[in-house]
Amino acid sequence: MEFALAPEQEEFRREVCSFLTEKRVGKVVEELRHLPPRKEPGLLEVYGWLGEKRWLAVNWPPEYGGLGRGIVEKSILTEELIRHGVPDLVHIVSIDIVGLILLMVGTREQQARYLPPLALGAQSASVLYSEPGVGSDLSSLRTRAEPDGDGWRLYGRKIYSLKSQFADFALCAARTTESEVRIHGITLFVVPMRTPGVVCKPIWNMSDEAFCDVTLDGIRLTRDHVLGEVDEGWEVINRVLPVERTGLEFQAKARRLLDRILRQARESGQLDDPAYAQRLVELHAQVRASQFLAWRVISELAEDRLDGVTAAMSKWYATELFKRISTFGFDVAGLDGTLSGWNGGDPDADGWLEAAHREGPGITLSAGTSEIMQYLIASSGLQLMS
Amino acid sequence: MRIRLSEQQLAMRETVGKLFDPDLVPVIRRMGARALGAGPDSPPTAEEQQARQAVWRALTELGTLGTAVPEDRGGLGQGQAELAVLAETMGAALYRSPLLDTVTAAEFVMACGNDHDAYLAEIVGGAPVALAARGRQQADPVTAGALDLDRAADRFRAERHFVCFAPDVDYLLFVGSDEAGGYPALVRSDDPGVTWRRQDDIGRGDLYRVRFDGVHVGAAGWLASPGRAATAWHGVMVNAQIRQAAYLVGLARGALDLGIRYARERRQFGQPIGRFQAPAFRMAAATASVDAASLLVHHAAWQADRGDDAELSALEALSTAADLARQVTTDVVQIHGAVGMTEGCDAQIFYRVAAVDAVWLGRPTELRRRAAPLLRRQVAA
Repeated sequence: MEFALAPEQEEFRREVCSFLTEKRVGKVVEELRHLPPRKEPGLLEVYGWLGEKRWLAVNWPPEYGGLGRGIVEKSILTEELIRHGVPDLVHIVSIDIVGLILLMVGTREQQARYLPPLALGAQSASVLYSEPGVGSDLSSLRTRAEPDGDGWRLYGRKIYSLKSQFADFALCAARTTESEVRIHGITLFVVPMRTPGVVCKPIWNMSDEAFCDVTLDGIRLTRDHVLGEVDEGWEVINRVLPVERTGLEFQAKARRLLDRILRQARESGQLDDPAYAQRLVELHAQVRASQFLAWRVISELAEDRLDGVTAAMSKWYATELFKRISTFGFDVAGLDGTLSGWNGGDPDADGWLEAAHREGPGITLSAGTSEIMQYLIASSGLQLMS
Repeated sequence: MRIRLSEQQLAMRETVGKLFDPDLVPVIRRMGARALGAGPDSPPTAEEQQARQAVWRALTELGTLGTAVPEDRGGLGQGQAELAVLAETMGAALYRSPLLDTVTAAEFVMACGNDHDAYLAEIVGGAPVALAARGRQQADPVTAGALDLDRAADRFRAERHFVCFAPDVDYLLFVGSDEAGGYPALVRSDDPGVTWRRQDDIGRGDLYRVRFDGVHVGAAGWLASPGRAATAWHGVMVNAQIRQAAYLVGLARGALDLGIRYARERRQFGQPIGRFQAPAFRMAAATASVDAASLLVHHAAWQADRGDDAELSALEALSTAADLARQVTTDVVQIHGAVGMTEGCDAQIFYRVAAVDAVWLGRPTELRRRAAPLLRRQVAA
């Protein structure tokens, strides 16, 4: 095995780090550390600066605003954004999920229309899959696309998406054809978000990122808004899933969280206390393992090999680990760790631990629940469950 | 970056895999295993001895003992990466032998200097060696046990525990320590001062308490000066821990494969038990955890082969693999139901052997205790 990156990839990492340590970026990160409650980061200036360098979507073709580099460089960027405390979710959803689907199945016209503003950091996108009655069982979705002349009108309610309140457009799964075979008859649409036929409201939850409650009330779309083939959206969604699911962002978050806890434990002397050191070493080993699991997926993708099972393993492992880390963080930090960043007074206290602990339960649910990940491993990987 | 087995690693796996083929593995798993409560006086049968020697010869002829020995010193010129694959394969087959000890002995002899070419040639050529490093009540060979050294007569007395296959090896690599450093010697197993007694362990294997009574070391005896020996031993233990971690990962994989196959075949409530989520998800979680541990092992091996300091990685790999092996083998007995406990089922062998191998080169708690100050150094202020 070879765990080192190529010299030019290490060089790219250095360049990215150099940018992220610039004063202007530091200023943005500092401001974002202290947002008021229920205010969250959207489309950041930092993305625009990255877009100018063509780094925001570094692995996209130059004609769409990237540098034509690979998934490794893309992953390096994501890792470093997270390591430097730059909120990454709008970037990940827009570039790594929506942008990726457009690249994989979009027409040239769709790519030329939607991709460049994303790569520039001038627009963002989100994903509308889940509904009140539909989470993991996506093919049971109820949002319908009723035929209307040469197009459709969409009616339905999509909930639990993230960052839709900032999105200029969204990928939306809707049923175009009733069918006995449920997975047939679903279509993936590109829905403009800033129109009267689309209403977005927040569902406040315990984390710092609102779920979005999006009502589609007759918005009219045409064939130009369809991604891939009509009625074959299910196939598109599933083709992309193992590509977007690397676990990389989750392992980066787990690492960052543990690094902070380790620093605190070192300062307090707890790292020298065997009672705490035992668990900290254990978690450190698991964080390193989670990094290797994610980079294994990336390494496969870089060689054009897709494996839904290694992807599921990586996502499952990193997200469950993150929750174990935040939980143990309170053993290290005690009650002080439970104080939020809105305590007033100490500018260094941004409640990073309690915020992480509120974020954790969401990541074993989003992008495929842990149960679904285990199901994928058990069925596709181990030929059980059938 | 390429996180998959290299050509050389795949070649090692394939070559050794031919020896440990699916038909032979059930036999290998039980080779030489004693009955419950066999006690100190229970040598293996002649047939079992022949079988073990045949496997040993085959592995020797494949050059495995010299995998990480440079080509110009009679080895294959490969590294810990290939040895990790060898160890994993052996673990899955539950192959118990002095092989890993012998590989450690070869490395140690090289680390002690260039004066031991004869020993190295013997070892690489197939002379089995067992480590005799653990003192009484102190089953951690990283810190070698005490010895009673009569410098005038150039003889020593010591007791060593958990020496594997003592009657079957050519040499015992005795390691002792005092304030001055380490005292390593290759003692012939037929030395008149050497006696042994089998220790009846949960693995029902070949562990021996060995007494070294007035063993003569001689001018050429100690393999290195005390200071050099201590350093060499410490370094070699790091690599030994990586290999042991690999063995444990293989053991976990072998057990898991058993469990998964059983879950596909065993039927209850009109369907394979693997259809139910509880056992299926357990196996899925275990599979991901085994992969995770495997990558820790391979990363440590990669660091060692690059000449980087692999100590923290080795400690984390071994402690992780040790806990994992015990957890997985426990789960695999469980998924087998009562069958898993029966003498006829390999699940219970995996479970019992894992208990021993998980603490073989240090208790996981000890390993993590050693790791903490190394981690502390890495944590940025």
